[in-house]
Amino acid sequence: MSHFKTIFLAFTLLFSTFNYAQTATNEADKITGVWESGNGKARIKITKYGEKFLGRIVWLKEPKYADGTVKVDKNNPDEKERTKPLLGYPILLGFEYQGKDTYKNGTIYDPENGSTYNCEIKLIDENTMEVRGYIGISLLGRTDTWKRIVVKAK
Amino acid sequence: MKYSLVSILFTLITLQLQAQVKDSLPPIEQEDFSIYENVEVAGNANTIKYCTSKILGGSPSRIFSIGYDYQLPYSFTAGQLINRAIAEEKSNVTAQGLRISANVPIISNTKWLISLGANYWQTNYDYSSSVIHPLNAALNHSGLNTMGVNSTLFKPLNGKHFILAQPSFDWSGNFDLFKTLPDQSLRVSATVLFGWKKHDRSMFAVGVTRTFRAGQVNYLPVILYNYTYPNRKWGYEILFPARAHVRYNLNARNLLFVGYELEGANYFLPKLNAITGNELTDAYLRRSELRFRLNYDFSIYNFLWLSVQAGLRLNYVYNVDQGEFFRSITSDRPYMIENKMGITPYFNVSLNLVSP
Repeated sequence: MSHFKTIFLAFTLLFSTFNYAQTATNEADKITGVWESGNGKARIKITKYGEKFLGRIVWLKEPKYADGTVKVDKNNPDEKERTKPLLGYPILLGFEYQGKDTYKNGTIYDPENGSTYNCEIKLIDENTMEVRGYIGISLLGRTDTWKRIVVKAK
Repeated sequence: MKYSLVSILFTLITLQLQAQVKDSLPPIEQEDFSIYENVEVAGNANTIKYCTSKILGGSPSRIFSIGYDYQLPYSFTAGQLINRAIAEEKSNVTAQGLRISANVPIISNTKWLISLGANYWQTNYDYSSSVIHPLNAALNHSGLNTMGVNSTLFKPLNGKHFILAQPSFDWSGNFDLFKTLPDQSLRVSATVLFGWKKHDRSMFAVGVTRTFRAGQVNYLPVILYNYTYPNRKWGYEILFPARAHVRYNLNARNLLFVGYELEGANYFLPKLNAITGNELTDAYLRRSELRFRLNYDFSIYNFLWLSVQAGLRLNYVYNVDQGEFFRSITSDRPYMIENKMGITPYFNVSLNLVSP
């Protein structure tokens, strides 16, 4: 009987843990989707890889240079990256869910100047998030508000 | 030394970790990006877009800056004191000093940008020969210092319009600012602008300023115009009449400027009074100079930038008045001490931490 109780307790515990982990995963995944930056100049698709999240540029208001060529990552400090197209480029990297709708330990890349900043993301509601890029400490930074967008059916 | 090594090690580890993160990224999905053209905002569709305080290709704003300014030897004639037995005195002088400033964003989001700043500028004078004129003696002894606090408020009203305000409080004089800040040395200046951001490469604003850049208080119209040409190579950065520069972007991390800046302040001179046995009470130096210059700003590591500047310093006014009063540009009221200063080359080097 005591063995049966122990096994029952172990299953209950295991199920609760699995259930909690599943809930946490679902909570964390709320960030995935397509978002538009505060100035409306870019749209970024956030996806999960492993336990982390990344965001790639999927739309630019001005996708081409004045001469008609496609915009590339020409300001990147790494010369090898300078010929890569900005569409598809990962500008958000390494975000980990920390609970309470907050994602930390990530970086954000600004293709306009080739700089990478530390970054934190806070979901305000399911369709709004605050993206804070900073240098070293959070005080030295700037927060941008991004809105979720949905793709219209063709 | 130990901490430096730890810091270097930490940086290397961080870079390594970042590299690993990038190496282990999933491959780019072959995706039809055109599907992201036809979208709608989820939830509340009445989202207002706000313009930012920057333009594409513009110079980055400085969070911390430490610099050194040096004026090569120039001729200086301290004028005679009217109705007193002190004759004019000619000298050769060099001027140099530290320039430290901070401008930290306290609130920086889509709807507001509010930063607080502080600055400390010193000008030390070295005379090539001994001096007896009370102004020269005072400057040789204590130089001129300015310490101030300021704020920048940028309020975007929508995607096109914004308000920019910059109040500042400065204490200027020939005394040790870290020991005393006399009320007579406090100068309050402010600028308020209303602007239009036509697109990401252009900002234009008009407003008014209360400024001491001409050596005394002035109320002037002010025009801000920041612009980058479509080729992203050339541009302007203008805050007329304070400064105007043509910019050439070698790339995003190497910027060249040519232009001018009007620098000036109104200094309280208690030490001039002390040296002359309190004969000259309530003395104020009105200092203003034009600096025509070439400037090269470049990133030396990430957000750490170096600025190297060289040019010519032209004196506009460097005269002493008794009492602080409004002196119009056309005023012919004689100064208490009217001085002459030669043109001289100068250079300035500063190390800057720039903002996102």
